[in-house]
Amino acid sequence: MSGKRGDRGVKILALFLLAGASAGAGCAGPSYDTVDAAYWQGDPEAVIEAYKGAMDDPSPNAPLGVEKMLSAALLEHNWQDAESYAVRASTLVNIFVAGEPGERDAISLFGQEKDKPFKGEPHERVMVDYYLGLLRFRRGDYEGALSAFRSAMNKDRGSFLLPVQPEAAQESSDNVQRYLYEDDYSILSILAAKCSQLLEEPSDAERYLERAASLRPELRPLFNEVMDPRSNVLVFIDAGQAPYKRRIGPQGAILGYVRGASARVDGVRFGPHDLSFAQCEDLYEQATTVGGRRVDEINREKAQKQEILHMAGFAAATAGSMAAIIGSQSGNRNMQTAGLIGMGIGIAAMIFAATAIDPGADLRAWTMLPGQIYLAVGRAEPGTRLDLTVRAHGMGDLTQEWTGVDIRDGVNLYWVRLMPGRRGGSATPPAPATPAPATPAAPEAPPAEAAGPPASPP
Amino acid sequence: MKHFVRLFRWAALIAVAAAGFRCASEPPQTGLIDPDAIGSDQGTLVSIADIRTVAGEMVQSMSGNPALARLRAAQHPLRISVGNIKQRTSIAIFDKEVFVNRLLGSLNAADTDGAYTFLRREDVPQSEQGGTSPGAADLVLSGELRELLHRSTAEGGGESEQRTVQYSLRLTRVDDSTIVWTDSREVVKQQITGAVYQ
Repeated sequence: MSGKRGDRGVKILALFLLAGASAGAGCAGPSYDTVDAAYWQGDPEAVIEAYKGAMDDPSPNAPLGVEKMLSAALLEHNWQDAESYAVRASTLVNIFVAGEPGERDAISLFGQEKDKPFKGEPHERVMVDYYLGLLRFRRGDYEGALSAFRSAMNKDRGSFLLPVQPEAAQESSDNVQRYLYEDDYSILSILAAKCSQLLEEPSDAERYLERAASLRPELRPLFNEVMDPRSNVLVFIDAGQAPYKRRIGPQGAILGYVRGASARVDGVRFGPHDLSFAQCEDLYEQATTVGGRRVDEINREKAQKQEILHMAGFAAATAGSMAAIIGSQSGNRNMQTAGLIGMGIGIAAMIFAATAIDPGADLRAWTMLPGQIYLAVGRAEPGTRLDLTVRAHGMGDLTQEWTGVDIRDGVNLYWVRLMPGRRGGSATPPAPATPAPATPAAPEAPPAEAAGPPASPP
Repeated sequence: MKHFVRLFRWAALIAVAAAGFRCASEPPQTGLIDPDAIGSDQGTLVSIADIRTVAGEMVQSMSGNPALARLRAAQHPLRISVGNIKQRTSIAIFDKEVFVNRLLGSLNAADTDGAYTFLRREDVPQSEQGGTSPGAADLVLSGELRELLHRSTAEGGGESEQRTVQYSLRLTRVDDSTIVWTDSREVVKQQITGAVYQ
């Protein structure tokens, strides 16, 4: 009787626990990674369609969805939507409310780092405001662009407590030293310099130019050309794939990176002229040189506790099984029962340690980011249309050619995404021979490229 | 053996429950949102409450300024052209027009005797500006928003970011470029970036 009652109790408890588990299973919201491949297959519309819920989604992964929609909108040259996604993403990654439930969960022993609201690693946060700045610059809002570039710079700054060099370690010390990191994205500094110049603030322009040149002395001639008031063409080229996140260290507690597939620009031609160009940024370098993560320490501590619990469980299970065997052999039923209980507790502790504690580093990533960013600069006659050719290789021939690119008054900013299968196309559709019937307005035409069907969008 | 099976069952259930419950979080809030509830507690960005406060204080400062009072007495109404207000903070999502609009609204509300007339040239198409030359304004309202950022270590391994946004405004006489009135206000905000983001 008591056994049956006990079984019923177990069943009721099981139902309760399973209900709790299933309620919890859906709490993280969408993962926003199911159709990432569509981006690389040149189908940004599918990405936007699949992730559009992210704009109103309060779940921790929402910023990831918004960032991916931003990438997709850029790819299809829908600048207006891209900017609204960038503004939303910038809002989400710039506000930190300490002690949020997700953040508390991530710190707790039974929480995971991926429970925290996604803000991205510093290089991902930088790219949100970088794109926002580019989009504003493109439409002539240099003040807004400058603000975004400066915001991006702030993401690459910080102070970190890191272990001292082994030779400097002392016995009675915590052996950590504070390191201050300053932003080192030369592309942000040169863009801030250009914005300041266009806002007629020459001293700030000079200061940012010097900063860019000090970060990349070999690029000073290119940066000087950018600042030449006669230069009215800037081409930003996203190449390669984002650094790939992986787990390293004990139980994968530390976040590491693998370099994504790279691409290399061989030349940029605008009409009859070759443009000066250079690779300004390598996101793998940026991701791996920002210093250690404090959260890796938290994960490592979790890994240690998991290990301790696992070892204790193993010891209890071993001792219990030994006691059970001895009890069985000696006919001591009490000892056998106690041994079985001990073994059960030990196994339960091991299972608990393995399933309830996950010290793994957060691998959520803005996978559509480039690996390298190139900048090309030159001059062109306003009011004309020219062909823009970017010769590139890596993952095969990546050359793109955009025909009939509009050159407007002022500084023209063009954005090109290199990826396999993307070849360019007509920037402006040919004029119809006879007046065509009215068609619904297309999204705002890109500065240079695809107004027609995205031959694969630029 | 029966004991073992039962214990194993219990262990498995506890493990499943632990995995399920650990991510339980508060349900999303829905419904109308008080604009004042946003911003002040959300990071170091500019909130609508900051803008209201600063705009209100600036209007008070203008009203109490003796030099401006003399000008108001001498000329009625004073024509103020809204000039450039620079946004030089690194708050990427801050639209300075929200501040300008609020400031003009507050000025207009406080101006019960019609002491001021405001000119915003961008509101009038270029082709229709023929009759009004830039010199038609008596004063130009201009200003800047700048910031100071300070970061320090927070308890628990996080980082504290303190952002001081300075709002400065001035009224410059068109005739001789003298500054008739100027004032500035600072709003300081702080946010803690938790250790999990470090």
